[in-house]
This record gives sequence, structure tokens and C-alpha cells, in this order.
Amino acid sequence: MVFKSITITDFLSYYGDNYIEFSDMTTIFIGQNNTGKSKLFDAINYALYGRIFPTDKGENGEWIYNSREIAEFALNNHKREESLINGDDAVDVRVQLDIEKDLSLIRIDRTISYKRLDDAFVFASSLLSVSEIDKSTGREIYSGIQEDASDRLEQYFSKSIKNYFLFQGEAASKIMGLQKGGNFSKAVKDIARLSVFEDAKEIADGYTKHVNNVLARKMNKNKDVLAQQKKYQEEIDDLEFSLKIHDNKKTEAEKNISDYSEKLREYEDKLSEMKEFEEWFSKKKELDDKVKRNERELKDTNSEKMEIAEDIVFYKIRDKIKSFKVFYNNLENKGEVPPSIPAAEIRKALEFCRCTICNTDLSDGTKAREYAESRLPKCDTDKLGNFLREINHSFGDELENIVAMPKKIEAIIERKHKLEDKKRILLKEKEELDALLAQIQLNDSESVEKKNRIDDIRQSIRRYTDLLDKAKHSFAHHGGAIDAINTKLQRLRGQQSLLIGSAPELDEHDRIWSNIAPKISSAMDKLYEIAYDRAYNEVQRKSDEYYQEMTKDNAGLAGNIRIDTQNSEIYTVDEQGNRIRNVNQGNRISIQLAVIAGILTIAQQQFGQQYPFVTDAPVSALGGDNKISTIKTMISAFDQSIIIIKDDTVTKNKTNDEIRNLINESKSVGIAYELSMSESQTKNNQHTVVKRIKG
Amino acid sequence: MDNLKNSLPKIVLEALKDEDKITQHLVMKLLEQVYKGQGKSNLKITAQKALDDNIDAMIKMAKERRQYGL
Repeated sequence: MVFKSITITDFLSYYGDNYIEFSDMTTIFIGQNNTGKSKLFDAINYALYGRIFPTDKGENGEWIYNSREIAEFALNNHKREESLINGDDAVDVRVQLDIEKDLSLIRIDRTISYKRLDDAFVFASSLLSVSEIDKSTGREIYSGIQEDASDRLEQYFSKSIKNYFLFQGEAASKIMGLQKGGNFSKAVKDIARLSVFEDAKEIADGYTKHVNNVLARKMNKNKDVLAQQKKYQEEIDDLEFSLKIHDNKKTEAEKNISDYSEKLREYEDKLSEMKEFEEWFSKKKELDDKVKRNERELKDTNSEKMEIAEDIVFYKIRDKIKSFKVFYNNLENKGEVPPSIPAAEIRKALEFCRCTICNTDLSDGTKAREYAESRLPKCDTDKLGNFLREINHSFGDELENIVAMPKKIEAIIERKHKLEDKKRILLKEKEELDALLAQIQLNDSESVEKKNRIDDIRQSIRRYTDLLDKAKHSFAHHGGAIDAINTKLQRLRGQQSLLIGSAPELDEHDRIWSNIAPKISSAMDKLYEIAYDRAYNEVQRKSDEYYQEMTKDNAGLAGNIRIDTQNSEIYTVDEQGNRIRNVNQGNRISIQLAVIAGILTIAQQQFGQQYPFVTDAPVSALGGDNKISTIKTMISAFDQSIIIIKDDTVTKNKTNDEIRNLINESKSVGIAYELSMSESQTKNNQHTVVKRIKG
Repeated sequence: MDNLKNSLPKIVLEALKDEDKITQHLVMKLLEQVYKGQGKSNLKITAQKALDDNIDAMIKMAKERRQYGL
């Protein structure tokens, strides 16, 4: 199939009749922003499918199919102004696409008619007409309008393929259902014609049932066999019923696994975004703890040192007292000071008129009593002597400690110094870390907020991990139950088949029939599995081939394409098979383009039909060398490609020069156009100017 | 011509290498019918009839073989 030309009349930014011829090989359109590039893409989409994608909304957009809605913005502004001034009652916009398919020429013509209402034009009607003529004879093969024409178009372009040969870079995922969980895997199945196997499987199952029914009718006369057959059938029905339930539960678990895995991935991604903060945070916490521990140790050391210092003072006083006591004892021995008799003893002796120590008579008027009375006021000194004795007694054991004290103090001081050094280092580290934390703009409230967010994320991860485990358990449980039921079913069907085979009323034909039918069913199962795997492997292999070709000059885009059929997801993996994350938009578009090319190649093989590849601005987001290799891959992958690229001439961009070189030098680029905006004074008068620059 | 049809025998052989010839033959017939009849409402009936007819033909062939000692 080859797109020959398009004529765009007063549609969107295209004013008047714009006849644009396409090359059978590659046609390139270049234009700066707002020159009508995407409008050209819209025109092709409108012609083929009567739809427009609001690309300005990116992935948030939805296809607009309603003619009335499209009519609201389809009329060219310049045309509208002109028709209002001319006093026209009606005005039309029109897009006409000419296609060559095998031996026919097809013309698709879509028109939106407006009628005048006061100072505006409002939607009146829309018309689709399709005609097909035989190329060699010029005879008309088909001509129809509206729904009939629409059905005819469906025959030309398979439903499955329609999203895939029109690629819009900025909204590719949404348009093509490439996003996770999108319709992409369904489309691959359709494109690879797996529906043939699916239908065949359904028919084979239906056939088995039909055979059983017919045979059951035939066996009606044989009551025993019939009763047994009925019993088997009831058991089979019951098993099939529980199989269905388990199957539903398994599917639900499968969906949950996919959903929860996705949630987990999302939260893990979120967590990895917070990774830097978390590292800082834990490092800071660790250091804070260290400083606190150190401060505590220093405090302990200080108080220990203080205690020792107090002890030292005490021991020094004690020594003084000790030497004083020796001195006092000497005086005492010499009789220069009175004996150390406590005042209480003297008072007691005076009271009893007799010394409690030496039994001296202390009666009134005796000399001894006189002496004792004279000694009483001096007993303070005696008390000191007693006190010294007590102290001597109490601290006699501490002598060794007193000797060891200087060494102990020395060790403590050394330890204190070490701790002080350590504290200095830690405080310095803390200071540095604080400076770094300040650099990444973490103030306290932000930190707390981030920390709370991390806690929330971790909690969610825990929750989804639990849910995922449960879903996996449920999946395994129901999978096991399904296997067990299938084994039972197989056994029962075998027994049923034997039973039928043993029924006397049946002839050889019936026996073979009953034997073969379940075999065909099970063969179809196998066949579907194989075809399914083949289709995906083939798409994946082909896509990866294109991806390698596109990214060969860009080492930053290494990896291999993977198609996750279970989650309907496309991504790249590294050499170890780990998913490459954090891909940028350019890389994402490369991956998508490669997959599109892969799907189209398979579609071309399966349908035996070449499809043109129409792409709008896919390469704007691609970087440097990647851009050229991508365009070259597109050119080589498809017989006909129509590539719309943003023109960066104004920036004197090297890559852009290369695109212009490619246009000039590549033999595959048959025709090229430059799109620009007319230099009118008012915006309403501006319109796309199409200039042919090659071919 | 559609590649699906060309690649069918290979897939069938791969999937049904342990099955008997009659099953293989009938699976092929069924797939052909489905393939030809895609989009038609009476697809199931057509495909079923194809299987019936084929089984009859196979049985007839088997009987003849036995009859002639082949």
C-alpha cells in the first residue's frame, strides 16, 4: 500500500487547496514550530479514520471521533474570515487522500460542511465517500458513502494496525496503547493473527461438546452407559464450574500481582528519588549519635576527674592532720599537752567523783578533781585527737589507693585528652555535614516532612509487599487447584471416552469421532501457546534489531528491548537482564519507535501487505547522532515512510544540517517539503505554506 | 499470499509432533477453515462441517486400506 497524495482544503492551518504528493519511498516534511506539521498529521488521520488526536494535550489527550466536535476547530481561520466578509452562506473543509493498493487506486474523501448563523459558521453535516478503481482498466470497482464507505475502509486497514502506522512522538504511548496495561499486547495478538488460533480453539472445544451430545443421544438406549455417562458429565460439569471459579480467582490474583507490582515499583521509584536525602539523613543521625555518645563520655570523665580531685584534696588534708597528730602525740608524750581524754569522759568522771580510766579519786576538794576541772575547757583539742584517730582508722585501708592515685589520675587525664580530641574530630565532621546538608537545602521542617514521606512510602511498600505476597499465594493456590482439576478432568474425559467407546450402539465412525474430538481440543491449546510465544518473541526480536540500529551511535542508550506480556509493558534491560529505569523522553521514543517498527514488520509479514509509516515529530526529542540513525532506520525499515520533523535551522544546529544533508543526499528520500507560516499581518490570516524542496 | 498459511504446517508440526496423523490432519483442516472463514458469522458451522467431512473421509480411507490389506 502506498499513499500517493493528499489534498487539504481549508482544513486547520491549511488555507485553499493544498495538493501534496508523496514519494513511493520516503517523503520528509520539515518546518519550525506552529507551521502546520502536526496539522498535516491530523489531516492524514482525519482522512483515514475520521479522527483527530489533540496532540497539544500530550498523553492526556483522547481521540476525537465526533464530526461535530472536530468541526468546532477544523475550519481554517483565514477561510472563515474571508467567507464572512464575502457574505457566504455555507463553507466546506475537505481532506482527500489517494492511495494505491495492489491493483487499485483508492480515493478517500471527507468533507465537513458549515452553514452560516449570524456572524459564525456552524456545523451542518459531514460526508465520507470512498471510491476504488482498477488501475489497469480504469473501471470503478467500488463507490460508497458514509457507513458503507467506513466498512470498506476497515477492510483496507485492519483495526489492529490502525494505531501503528501513524506515529505521533509526543503522545505515542496513549495513541498506540503502548503504556503499561494498554492495548498493545492485544494488538500484537491481533496483528500476529493469534485470533485464528483462538477461534480455532473455541471451535474445537465446541466441536468436542457437539460430538459428546450427539453420542449421548445415540446411547440413549443403553441406560447403564447413559447413566454412567451422565454421572461423568455431572462430575465434569462440576469440575468445569470450579475450574471457572479458580480461573477467575487466578485471573484476579494475576491482575492484583500486576497492580501491586506496579504500585511497589512506583513506591520504590519514589523511594529511590528520596535515596539521597535518606542517606544524608541517616548519616547525620549516625553522626549526631556519635557526638552525643562522645559528649556523654566526656561528661563522665569530667565527673570522675572531679571526684578524684576532691579525693586528693581530702587526702592532702588527711595527711596534714596525720602529721599534726604525730606532732600532738609527741607533745602529749612529753607532757606538754594534756592527754587526749574526751570531755565526755572527764564530765562522767567528775560526776562519779572517780576516773573511769585510772580509778583516781576525784572527790570534791581533791587535787585530781581540781586538775580535771581545769582540763575540761581544753577538751576541744582532745576531740580533735579522737577525730584524727577515727579518720586514721577509717582511711587506713585507703593507703594503697592513695599511693596509686597519681597514676590513676594520669590515666584519666590521658583518656580525657583522647576523648577531647575525638570530640573535636566529631564536631568538625558534624560541622562539615551540616554545611553539606545546608547545601542541599534541608532545613528542619523540610527534613521532617521528607522523613515523614519516607516513612509513609516505606509503610506503603510494606503494605503492598504483603498484598503482593497474598496475591502470589492466591495465584499459586488457584493455579495448583486448576492443575489438579485439569488432571481430574483429563482422567474423567478419558474414562468418558472409553465408556462411549464401549457402548454397543456406536459404530466405528462414532468411536473414532469420540476419540479424536478431545485430541483436537487439546492440540489447539498447545498450538495457541506456541503461536503466542512465537508472535511475541518475533516482535521482540525485530524491535530489538531496530533499536540496536537506531541507537548504535549513542552509547548512552544501551540495552535490549523487552516486552512484558503479562503486564503489557515495554522497556529495556541491561546485560544482566535488569530493567533500565530513569529513561528520558528521547530514549522512550526510541524504544517506542523500535517496537512500532517491529510490530509493523510482523503485520506486513502476516497481512502480506506493505504499510506506509507516517510519523509526526518523533525525533525532536532524540539527541544528536541518535536522530539521524533513527531516521535512517525508519527509512530502511519501511517501503514508504512519511516523516514530519521539526526544522531547527534557526539554531544552526549540526544535527539539523545533517537532516538537510540527508534530504539532499539520500536516494531514498524522493520528495521533501518545507512548511512555513505565511507572513500575514493578523493571526487569523496566517496559514501554512507548503514549499517543495526536493523531488 | 498470507504468511500465516505458509507458516501453519511448521507450527502445527511443532505443536503436534506427539499426536497421530489424523489429529494433525484435522487440526490443519480446522485452522484452514477458520482462516478462510474469518469474519463470517457461520464460521463455527463451516468449521464443524469441515471436521465431520474430514473424519468421514479419513474413516473411509482407513476402511479401504484394511479392505485391500494396505
